Formats: sequence, structure tokens, C-alpha cells
Amino acid sequence: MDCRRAIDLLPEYAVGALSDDERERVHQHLRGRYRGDGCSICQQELDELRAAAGLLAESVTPILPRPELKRALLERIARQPHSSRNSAPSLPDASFVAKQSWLKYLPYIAATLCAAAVGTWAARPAERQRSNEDAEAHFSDRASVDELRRRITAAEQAFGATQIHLAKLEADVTGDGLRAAIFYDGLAGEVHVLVSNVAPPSRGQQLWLWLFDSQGARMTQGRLEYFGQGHAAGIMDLSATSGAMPEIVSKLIITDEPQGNPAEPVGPVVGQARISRNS
Amino acid sequence: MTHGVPTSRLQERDPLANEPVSDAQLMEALKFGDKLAFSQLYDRYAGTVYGVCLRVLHHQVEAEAVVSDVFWELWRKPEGFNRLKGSCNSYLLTLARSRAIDRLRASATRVQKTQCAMQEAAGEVDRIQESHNPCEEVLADERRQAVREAVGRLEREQREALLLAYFGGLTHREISQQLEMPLGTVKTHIRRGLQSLKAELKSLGGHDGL
Repeated sequence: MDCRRAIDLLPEYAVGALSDDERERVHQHLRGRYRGDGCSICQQELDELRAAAGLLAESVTPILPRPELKRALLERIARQPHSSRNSAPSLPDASFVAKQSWLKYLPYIAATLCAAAVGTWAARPAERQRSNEDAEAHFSDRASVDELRRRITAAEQAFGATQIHLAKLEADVTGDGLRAAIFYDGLAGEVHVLVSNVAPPSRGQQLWLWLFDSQGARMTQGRLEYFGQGHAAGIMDLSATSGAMPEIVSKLIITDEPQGNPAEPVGPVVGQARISRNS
Repeated sequence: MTHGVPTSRLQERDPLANEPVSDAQLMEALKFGDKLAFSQLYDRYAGTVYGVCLRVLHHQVEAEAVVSDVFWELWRKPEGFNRLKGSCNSYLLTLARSRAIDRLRASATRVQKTQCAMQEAAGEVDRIQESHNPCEEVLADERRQAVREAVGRLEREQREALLLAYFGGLTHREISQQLEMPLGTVKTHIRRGLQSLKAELKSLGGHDGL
């Protein structure tokens, strides 16, 4: 995208009125493929537009939240280890507050997928187990597994994800050897889901994941990015009043949906599983 | 004092403890983990942040969750604020609005909330105002009134389009459908509305707490 096109879209970008695709293209133009390669002229224009749009927020009458909110925050700060603040690496400029593309996490996702396959292995009927001699050979190497786990721990520390929890999934008997891992980031209120042995989406469709609690109520949903060989991943919001992984997450299903944001699962189910906890 | 280290850098920098401290000073102290600075920033801006979150989400619990997220982000990454790009107030409100919109878009009741946003865009909905610090609130009230008047001076269609996008989280296509006007017209309203607000902002000046 060139500057002429980007500048034309900046007002809508500033107020969040662009579609996902348009927003991503403008974002790439502003940031460039690598940091420091972006467009400073458009960024400056965007800063001015955002400041102007900020008047809309300033016009809102303030309302004080309950005092408990502040107390909870101060308690959370008090619980934080002092050293963890100084050890946090330089993080992306939060003035660009749109969610960063998760593709930059790909190296860590790749490492996590490998560890997830080991750490979250579910019992499957032998007759449906897909042959994967390379993976079996690799994961039988204890040293390699330990190295992958060390790298995941280092990644979690680097990103300050001190409240990530790993949930183990079991493959459903009607599934096709689906394997999945859920990471809950209590700080960001997000669920990171990694799946393997999932069918690709149909042409023009997308994979969509739905999480349910033990009562069958839907907790969150979001798109899974399919990146070949049965692997897919996605990030979705999951709010919780406590910092711990919601204990009531019970089941997931993956459906093949048309493009857009489905309000309900309408496409065919391509995978499902019950969720259990690591022992 | 703990092990010879001042408990608050604000006290270290401001011997007259009763002197008001600017946002810039509070943010600087925050980078060193100053809990007093954080507390003061919270007291100063939690009301506006919560107000914006409620305006977007129309749900107390969800709005409170976003308020917590925003101020936790402020504590965790004070370096995210760049004073060259705007005031602390605008930084927090931008962060709050963005997080609230993300939550809104993930919500299954988005249609209902869009309808609320439509109603609010058509007429100003008054909310209960509570004052935490009457002295600081006077100045803030004057500023807010001036800002409201500036927003009120926008053409109705421009204001509606901007409010639907900014607080309703709608895309330009969705606004086009809601307002039953061509997409190009919506784009023009948003562009011209923001240009008008840019001009208003120049006359209002930036806003930094004290």
C-alpha cells in the first residue's frame, strides 16, 4: 500500500472504522515489514487524527468505578515481584493500540506446538492414530523435549506472561486424532489455542473455534489461522474476574464457517474435544 | 524509606508534598515503580476511563474489567506512553477505547450494543457524574464542557458517523448500512468530522493534568 492510499484510509483507521483486511494493510504500511521501515509521514498524520478523535472520549462524563477496583489493582501490584518489572523487555509502542499480528509469535508458536504435542498428549484409539514417524522419533528424544520446554519458559518470561496456564485436551472419540493446547494469559485476558491434526477449511471458508463451559454455555470464540499440515492457531479474548485459568472451560469445537464473524456455529464440525487439566 | 531508598520519588522530587504534580512527573515516577504515582494517576483518570468503557460496552462488569486492564497495562508498561504523541489522558482513553472495542466485537450481544450506540449518537445521554476531587474537577469540567461544545459543533451526520465508529465499533460498511447512506458518504463524513475536530483541538490545546 502506498502513502496516497494509506492517507486516504487514515481517518477511518484512527476511529477504528476499517475492515480487518484494510486495517492490517494500513498497519503494515505504518510499521513496515520490519520495525524502523514504516512510514513516518503517515504515522504523524495518524497521531494527529487520533488526538482529534480523542476529543470524543474526552467529552464523555467521567464515572467513578467501585473502590474495590483500585484496591484489587494495588494488591495485584503488591504481589508482583519487584525484579520482574525491570526484567521486562522493550515492548511495542502501546500508542498503537490495535492488536498486533500474532504472526510475529510464530517462532514461539512453532516451539509451543512441539511441546504441546508432548505435554498434552491425549489417549486415542490406536486404529485412528495418524502415522508420524518423524514426530515420534523427535519426541522420544528426552533432551529435545527438555530443550523445547526451556525455550517456551524463556518465551513466557520474555513476554511477561506470568499467568499462562496449560490445559490438556483429550481427543473426542468422533474426532480424527485432534490434538490441542490452550494457554490462558490472565494479564491480557486472552486464550491462545494451538491445534494439530485438524482438517483445513473448505475453499473460501475459515476455521472457527468455540469454547464451552461445563454447562454448555459458550465462553469465547474466534478464528483459527490454518497454516498447513493440520496445524492451526488462534487468539481470542476470554475475560475472567480472577487471574487464574477459568476452571469451568470444558469443551471445544471447531467448525468450518463462511468468512466474517459468525455469531453462532453454523458450519460443519470438523473437530471437537473435551478439556481436562494437566496432572 | 526502605533500605535507604525513597518510598516515592514524588516525595523526593517535591519537598512540598502538597504541591500538585503534573502527569509528566507522575509518569516519570511510574517508570521507577512508584506506587504513589500510580495511585494518583488512577485517581485522576479512572473516572474518564470508566466512563468511556461504559459508553462502549454498556455493561458494568465488562467495563470494570477493561479499566483494570488499562491501568494494569499502565503499571506494567509505563514506557508505552510517549508524551510527544499526546497527553496522558488521551493515551489512557485511546487504550481504554481500543480494549473496550475489542471486547465489544467479541461479544455475542453486539447487535444490542450497536442499537445502544445508535441511540446515543442520535441524542446526548447524560450519565451520573461523581466528583472525586472537587478542586481538580473544576478545571476538568471546564475542559470537558469546551470539548462537548466542540463535538456539538460537528455536523449531525459527521457526529453520528464518528460516534458509531468510535464508541460503537462499527466499520464504515456497517455504518453505511445503519445510517442508510452510501459508503463513500460515510467515509467523507468521518474524514471531514475528524478534520473539524483537529481544528477544534488546536484551539482547545492539549490537556495535561495540572
